[in-house]
Amino acid sequence: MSMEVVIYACQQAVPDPEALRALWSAGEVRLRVLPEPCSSKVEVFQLLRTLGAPVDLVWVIGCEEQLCRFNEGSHRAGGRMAHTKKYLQEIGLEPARVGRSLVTPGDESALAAIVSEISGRLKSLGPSPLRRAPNAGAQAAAT
Amino acid sequence: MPAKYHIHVRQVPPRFSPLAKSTIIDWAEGCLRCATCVKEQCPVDAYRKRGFDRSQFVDTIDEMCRDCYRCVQGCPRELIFKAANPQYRQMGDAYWTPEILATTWYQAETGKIPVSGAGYGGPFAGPGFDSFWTDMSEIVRPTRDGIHGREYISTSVDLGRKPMFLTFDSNGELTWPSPPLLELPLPIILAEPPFAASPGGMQDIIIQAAGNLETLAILSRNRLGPVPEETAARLMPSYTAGSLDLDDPLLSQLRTLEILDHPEVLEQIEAVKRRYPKLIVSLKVPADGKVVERVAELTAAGAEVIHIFASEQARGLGDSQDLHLKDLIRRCHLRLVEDRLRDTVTLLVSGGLALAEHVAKAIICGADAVIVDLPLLLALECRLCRSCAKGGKCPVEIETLTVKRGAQRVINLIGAWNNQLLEIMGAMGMREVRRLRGEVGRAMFIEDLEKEIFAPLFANREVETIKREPN
Amino acid sequence: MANPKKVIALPTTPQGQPWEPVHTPARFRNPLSKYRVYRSESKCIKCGKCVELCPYGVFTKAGKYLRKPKSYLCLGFECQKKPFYCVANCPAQALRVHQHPVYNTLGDCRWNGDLLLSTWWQAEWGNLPYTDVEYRTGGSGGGFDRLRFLFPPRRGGAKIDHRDISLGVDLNRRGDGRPQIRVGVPWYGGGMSFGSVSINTIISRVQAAKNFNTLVSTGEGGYPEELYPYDDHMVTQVATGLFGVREDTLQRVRMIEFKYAQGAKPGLGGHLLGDKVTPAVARMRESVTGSALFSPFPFHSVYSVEDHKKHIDWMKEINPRALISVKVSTPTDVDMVAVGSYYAGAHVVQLDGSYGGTGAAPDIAKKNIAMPIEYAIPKVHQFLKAEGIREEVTLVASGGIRSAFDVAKAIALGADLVQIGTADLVALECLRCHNCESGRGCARGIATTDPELVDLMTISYGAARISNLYYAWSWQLKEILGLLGLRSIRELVGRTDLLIHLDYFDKAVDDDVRERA
Repeated sequence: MSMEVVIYACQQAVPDPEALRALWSAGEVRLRVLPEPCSSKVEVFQLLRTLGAPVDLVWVIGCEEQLCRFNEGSHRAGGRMAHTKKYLQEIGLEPARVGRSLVTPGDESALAAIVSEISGRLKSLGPSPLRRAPNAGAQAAAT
Repeated sequence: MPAKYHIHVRQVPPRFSPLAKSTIIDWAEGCLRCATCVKEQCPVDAYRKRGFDRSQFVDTIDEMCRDCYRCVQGCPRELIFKAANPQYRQMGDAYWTPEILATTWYQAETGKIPVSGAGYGGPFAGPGFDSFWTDMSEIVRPTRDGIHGREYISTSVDLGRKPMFLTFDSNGELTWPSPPLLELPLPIILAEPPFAASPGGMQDIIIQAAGNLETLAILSRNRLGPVPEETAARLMPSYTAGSLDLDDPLLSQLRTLEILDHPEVLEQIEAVKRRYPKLIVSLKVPADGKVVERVAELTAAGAEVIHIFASEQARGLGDSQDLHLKDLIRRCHLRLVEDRLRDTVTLLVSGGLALAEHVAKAIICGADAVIVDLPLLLALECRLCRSCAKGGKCPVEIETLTVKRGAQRVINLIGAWNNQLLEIMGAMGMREVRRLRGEVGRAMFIEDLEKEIFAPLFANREVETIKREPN
Repeated sequence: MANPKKVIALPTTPQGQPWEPVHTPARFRNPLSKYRVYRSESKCIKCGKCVELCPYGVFTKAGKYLRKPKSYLCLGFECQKKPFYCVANCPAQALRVHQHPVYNTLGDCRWNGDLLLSTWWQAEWGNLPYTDVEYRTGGSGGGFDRLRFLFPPRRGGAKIDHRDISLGVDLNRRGDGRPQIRVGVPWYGGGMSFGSVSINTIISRVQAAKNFNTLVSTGEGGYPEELYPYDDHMVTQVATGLFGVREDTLQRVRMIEFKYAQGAKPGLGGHLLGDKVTPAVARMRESVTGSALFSPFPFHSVYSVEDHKKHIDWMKEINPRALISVKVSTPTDVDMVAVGSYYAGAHVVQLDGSYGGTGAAPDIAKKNIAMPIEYAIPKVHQFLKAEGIREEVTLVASGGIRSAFDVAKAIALGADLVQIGTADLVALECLRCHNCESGRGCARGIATTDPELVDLMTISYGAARISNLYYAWSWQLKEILGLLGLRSIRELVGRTDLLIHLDYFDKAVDDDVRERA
């Protein structure tokens, strides 16, 4: 079963999404990197529905909180992440399927560490249970 | 007068949420829960209707947003922002801009001419086709109402060799058979794009659209499957040098075909003509440094149709990369005028024709008709990620698009383009696209305007060297 | 329809008194801005030091409570060098100043974010912004945006006092016995029909025109009764659809404008979408509610220069005291068209360039058909001079005049005065989303006839905002003239020697007229 990872990446934190894609070596796992104006663009419902697509792991990369171009964006994204994890717990999906990293804008060495963290996390989690019952899962995540 | 040509456009909604230029950032947490929330006052009700496009992982609010900023400016805690959408900006490339993609999707969806208020928002001028303006007729010249159509404007063009004179025998009969001519009701020929997620499906879509539009479909002969008889008349198969087999049964069903230029091409045409005298042969010539000479040479040798092809960015090929297609067309056209052969041959051009105005402008520069390829792929919601060219997955799943739906989107796009051609010709007071060809006098080139108007005022002027005091 | 109650509290100037700016803030709660001042609620200790320090009024207090910072008043990054820079002085490090993320989404090439923000500023305060927001040019990369004034050094000759500088322009230069119209400023309002914009927008513009003793064209949409009190400041338009054109309305006004073509859609007819044809609009235009209205192109009764003259004679007959203006677009032979119009009897020839316009037009036409006004003005000006009739015709330029500097540049290129449209709308907080024609029309209540949306804007607000803008423009024009040593706007006409074009000039040039701190 082929797996898929979606990364929502703040464009200030990750100015070159192509470089992030290039770091990805797990060929059998599909990686999508979606540039966003700020990590706080991604709302809770979006994280949940992405998981329900289904996608096996969703990651958000934002800037260090004090460097956020929107001031409170990174901070708010953190709150959303916590909220999403709590919700996942309630519906019985591993909270670890969503994750978040904060970087100093333009720090490419940090990206390599993030990529290895993501692949490690994916390896330990395996495919999303929603892949076995996509409809039920999608409905649960869509609420 | 022939029956009025009409393209039947029909709304075909997109399958994927079109990416918007800017995006809404909504910080719902921290909300004061005002009695009348700005989100409820949204004039298009985007906050209520927003959904999630699960194939692209985007919030659909941005495609509905009309950029009024009332929510951004109204929220008492400033919890809503608009920001430029990086996903929009990264589409396409420097030539095939996100704006070109977005307007093409709109036209393929609606078949309508893009209309907007509040004047023009683009740059003063640009390279290539953006470096000249078309004329209009004022007050005293009779003009035409383009689309609303009280007066008929013909967009028909002919493909084939036109004799400079005719000779008759004593019975009044032509002494030699007139060469074959193919009339198309619009100066646009559809061609296979250089790449597509589903090349076979793309061919079927183009064939069907060409049939509906009564134009031709240029498809690579190598990739062409079996052809039913009724579609053969709409085909203009493209042959690479030396790949033409005279025993190919398809040849007897065709009206026209295209051969890539090569040193023995004239002999090959002769062989084709001997066996299939009704077949019109188009010669595909690269727009490189030798194109003007080659076009003149081939025309003098009796070529019927010449297809000049440029790069995807409307640039010349090889040693003429620095030249824009418009200049190469002008040079070829002018050379043929000087040789007094212009009217004998049909010039088709392709490469980088991306917007409706490029059709009119290429014709003004001297083409008889244009060949459109990439925009047909864009009409199918292509994001121009070129992932398919590298064997990757298509983000808008073009491989699952039905032929009917795809063809209608192509028809819509060409319908909108043809109406825009009518607008330009109507404004110029022209009745026929045949007469638009080479009419550079009805265009205003920036280099000429600068030379005639601004340079005498501002160039080489003795300006006193006055230094303003710092303040 | 207009609510007559709203007309009562109009800001107006007593006859002959010049307009003084009235502070008229944005209609929307959060004004858009280039910089954003952010105060962290969690770090702030409410000491009030920022309130004391900031001379621009960004920070205000209500009792103990600190209000949200007014970012649009902030000086921006330039403030970092100042002793009162709030970020450096905040004891709790609770403040940040940075570029507003929304700034990058504002505007387009012609009206970029800076030009929008500076125009809004002028409409609010009647003066120029003190920030680094550009107020003279947009970002189109050509035409007006590449032209600059070359001011002589300020040292030396004393600057001419603004009171000694005249901006007035006479419109009748034919000496044909018809009355003179002298407008107080070298611009007047271009046609925006009732239907395309709200009655509040129209009356706001007319009121501002009255305050500055100039005119506004009705556009092709009839002459609503609400305009009768302003007859002396109206130009009524006769366009190809003849919508709302009636003998009595032609007789009301001092100038009649013949619209042969318009720059935004040269050679094409007009189109009012069915959605905008409300009962009131339909009554005014004598048409059917909800049915789209097309204006044809061209006048189907004009096919020769003789027909053209006949038209003008007919108008002159109907209204013997009116001046006649002919509005044309900018084709290759625009110079011949202008001469023809003069010989047909026009007092005013208006050239409408291709990049302006307010109404809906096909994108292909706006971008591609007809030449930009910057080329057309000198072409026509020189041709009329060569023909020996330049002194007898009033040349109006329009289509892309966005700022006071555009006005001055157009005049220096050879126009007598200009006509403006979009700038008025921007003063009313149009942000050029280009969606004037979709659905219910303008979501900001400017170009719409939807009653709920029309109510977003009052006439007193609108008239004051446009008047403030006009005030700021007048000030800038006088400043430009003063710096050039000219006492009248008339002396600037055709003075291309005072301009340089950046394509042909390699020295640094700055024509900023502000007294910088």
